[in-house]
Amino acid sequence: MRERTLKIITLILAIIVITTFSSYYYFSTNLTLAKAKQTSLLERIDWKNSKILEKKDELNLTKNKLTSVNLQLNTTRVQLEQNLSELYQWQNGSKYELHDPLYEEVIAFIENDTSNSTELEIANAKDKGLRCAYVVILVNDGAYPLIGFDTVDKGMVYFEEITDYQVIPEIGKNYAECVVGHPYIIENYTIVDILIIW
Amino acid sequence: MGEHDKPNSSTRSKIGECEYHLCDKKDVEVFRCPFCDKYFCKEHLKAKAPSAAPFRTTDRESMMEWHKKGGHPCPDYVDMQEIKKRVEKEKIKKAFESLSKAPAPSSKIAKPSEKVEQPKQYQKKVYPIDRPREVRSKRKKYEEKSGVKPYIMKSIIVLLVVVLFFGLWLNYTTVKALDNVNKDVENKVTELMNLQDEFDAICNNIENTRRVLSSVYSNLNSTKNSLQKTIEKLQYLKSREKYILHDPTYSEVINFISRDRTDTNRYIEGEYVCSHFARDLNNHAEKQGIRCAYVEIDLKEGGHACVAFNTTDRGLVFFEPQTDERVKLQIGKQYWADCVIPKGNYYYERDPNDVVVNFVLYW
Repeated sequence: MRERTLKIITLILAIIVITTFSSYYYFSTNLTLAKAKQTSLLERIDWKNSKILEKKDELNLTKNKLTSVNLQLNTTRVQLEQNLSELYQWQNGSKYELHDPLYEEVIAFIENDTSNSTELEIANAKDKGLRCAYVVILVNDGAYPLIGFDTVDKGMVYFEEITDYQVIPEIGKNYAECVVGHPYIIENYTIVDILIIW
Repeated sequence: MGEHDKPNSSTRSKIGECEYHLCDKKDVEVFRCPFCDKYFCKEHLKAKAPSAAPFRTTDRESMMEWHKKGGHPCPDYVDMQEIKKRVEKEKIKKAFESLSKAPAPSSKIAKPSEKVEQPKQYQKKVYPIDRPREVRSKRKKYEEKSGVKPYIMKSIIVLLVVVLFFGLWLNYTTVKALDNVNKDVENKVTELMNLQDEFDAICNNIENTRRVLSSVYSNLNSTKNSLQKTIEKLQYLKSREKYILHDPTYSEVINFISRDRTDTNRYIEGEYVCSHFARDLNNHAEKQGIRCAYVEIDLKEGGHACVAFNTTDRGLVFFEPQTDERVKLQIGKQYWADCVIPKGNYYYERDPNDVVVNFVLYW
């Protein structure tokens, strides 16, 4: 009887021990896996940290560049403003203070001017400080009034007052041929002289 | 646990090795133990009960026995002692019963006699002193029947308990470690996620900054272009001086006209006519900063040209560029005969075709 009890106790103990060690095996396997995961995570964290540092450097570089470019932009803007102001002062004249204009100034003026006579157009141009000439194109049987500008970038340019057509007159040529775009029927009006009256 | 009698004379002896585990005697005379059949030297031949030190016992005799040197632990000897004690007890019991005078009923006597039969059998079969071989065979039978010796079973149980505790301790530490590692893993995952968020935020920031940078670059380039164009325009404009004009005084006009040599030019019909005179005088005046107007006059027949000045003291004054004479231009009047004021004692012939119809000033 005593031996049997001992045997049973031994058996139960053995089962418990086996169960205990099985669970130990299970836990230790889990622990190994968890440690591997932990190591992997640590490596990933290190890698991520290094990447963050790289990106931060990159960001700082970009920001520095941006600051530098902004500074450059501001400086350029200031310069531009100074130049524009100077340009404006130069271009902003009156009939007593005239300047030979840029071609673009002339075009802008011609496009915006609504006067319907050459003398008014000339007066308007001079009121804005644009030096211009009353141009008389003498043909064999009459004359064509034009407005002329001695532009600083493209030399003398001529325009018809009413149509705003540009004219490139040459003595000896037919007037219609001299109008840019040839909008007129060519008639026998040969240019004999060009009077430029400032 | 007492010492038993010396081994009888029939105990075999030989020259060999003492089988007591702590004795290293070899090639000495060894004697066979009558209980366990193993051979021991003279010193270790004595059979003793195998046991741990009886520190907790109050049995002084046992303690002294344990302390005695020599002998070897012999389980068979213990079994034999047990049986001997039981036999002794039976003997005492029997003697006690025979001494009692009261007649015992046969049925009643029969039962104890049956009960004490077994020790008798033991006494006959396995008398420990005289027949140790029989004791040994009984023990062997018991061992064969149970499979394992009881003290080995106990040792196994103890060992199992120890192992169990060790296993439990291992489990405890492992689970604790696993818990810590899992917590750490969770923290690390959170940390990694935070880092990822930070990384994404930085990347977005970089992208935005680059976008802004690109925009600023393009802005800078366009501003630079504008600046370049403006500088070019200014350079163009500054390549020529400004024309500063003023309305002259009347005396200034007179002075200018008297100095100007346009009037000395020769009138050539079809080549250099009134308009050429007026142009030249006008252009000369403007070159000297005097604001001057080219006046185009429509006559009743044909046309004419002269110049005009807006004087500061006498207002608008007209001059004939061919003669430098002053002109009081009036519509409806004959230009030469009525409008031109001759410088000397002469006059211009009247001509109805010279009537001024209209005039236009080109400043």
